[in-house]
Amino acid sequence: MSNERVQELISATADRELDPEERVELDQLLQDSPEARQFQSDLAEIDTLLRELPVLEPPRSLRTQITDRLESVPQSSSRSILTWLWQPNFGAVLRYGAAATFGLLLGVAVYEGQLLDTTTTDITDLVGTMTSDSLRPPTDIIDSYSIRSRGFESLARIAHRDDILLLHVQINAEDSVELVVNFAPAGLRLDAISQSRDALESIEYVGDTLRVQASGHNRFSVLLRRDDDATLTDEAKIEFNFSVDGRFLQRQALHTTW
Amino acid sequence: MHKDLENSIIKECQQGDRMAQETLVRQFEKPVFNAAYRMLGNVDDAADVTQTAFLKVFENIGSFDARFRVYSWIYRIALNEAIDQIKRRRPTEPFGDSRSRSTDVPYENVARRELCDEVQATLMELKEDYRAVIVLRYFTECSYREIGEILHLPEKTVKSRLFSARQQLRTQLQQHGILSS
Repeated sequence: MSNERVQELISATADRELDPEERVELDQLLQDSPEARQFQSDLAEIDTLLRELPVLEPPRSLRTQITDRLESVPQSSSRSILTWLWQPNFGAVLRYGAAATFGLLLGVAVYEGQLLDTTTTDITDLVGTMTSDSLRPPTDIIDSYSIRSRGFESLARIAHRDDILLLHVQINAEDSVELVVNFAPAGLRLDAISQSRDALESIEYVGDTLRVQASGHNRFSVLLRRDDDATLTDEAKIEFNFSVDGRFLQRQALHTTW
Repeated sequence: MHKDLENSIIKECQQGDRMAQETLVRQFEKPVFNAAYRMLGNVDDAADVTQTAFLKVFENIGSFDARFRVYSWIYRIALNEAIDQIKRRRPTEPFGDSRSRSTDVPYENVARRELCDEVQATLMELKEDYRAVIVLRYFTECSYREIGEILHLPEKTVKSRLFSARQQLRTQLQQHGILSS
């Protein structure tokens, strides 16, 4: 067996890419060769030197520079269909009004859904369609958060125009995550919800609380209005509570102004 | 990132969704930047390469083949961009004088910083082909199969190239007195 073959086996061991037969072969060769043992020791040292090199933080401006320049990158014209889910207790006028306002607000689009008389709180029954462009957050963002932990991340942005707030939430989760948002303390009420088709596992609006169960890549948007009965200051806080199997995971808040 | 999650984000990127694009940038910005830094030995050049690589990713995302993992594709674009950068500068503006360029890097003490600079400088003395496999193995934690996908090489070639790269690195580290002869 050549010296080079032994050293190649040692190199593969360092990468944990040796099959069992090669492992046995190498163990035997190491016993018989001080040179091979020295080479193995050197590689272990090199391995340590390389692994101890620090991981650098990219310059803070880099991400912004990339995303800013994305504006000039040609985009595909294909659009996905998104599902509209309507909060059930509003009258037709308000719903059409909200749809029209939202359409104007976002420079969109098409609402092809039908008005429903149901009083159920299972809003997944209530379906319409819009183009994906319509759900991009507008540029006048009031507040945003970005959270990330192992196997989970979420981003949200809130923007307002006139008397409507648009909340845009993205959840990326490897395991099923529950999000609970109560809008009442912020003096807000929910007008409408939209989500990517087949994305969320469940979505419910009960009382003043929105409950979302999600895994994988999900996005949804919520239209919010100032509650007529609420006494609002100029600022309001919306809290987002994330949990997995009932265990608290993350809490975030967005602040709104009028 | 889980493959299904990755595919779903790619699909939205292909539809031009900015939030999905930002997610991809956030996910890979740091490893791509670090791989580029280890290839180029300079923070500014690494930032340039990272930026250009991501723009190329989004320009070409429509042709992404979903059979592959997205990181393989992104690293391939970034490494090619880094190698192009090296070739563009050659031979009058050599890279790799990292001994004097790591001021932004956090170190516990001066001795450790000097050692890290020496190791990086030695990395810069390797041929690009060798440096690329070392960078992918150590700084992106890719397997032989993944390195093969990224560099369009058979696994066997990856294995032998890593071996040769380590041999060369060992010799260079010994010459610099970092590793005992």
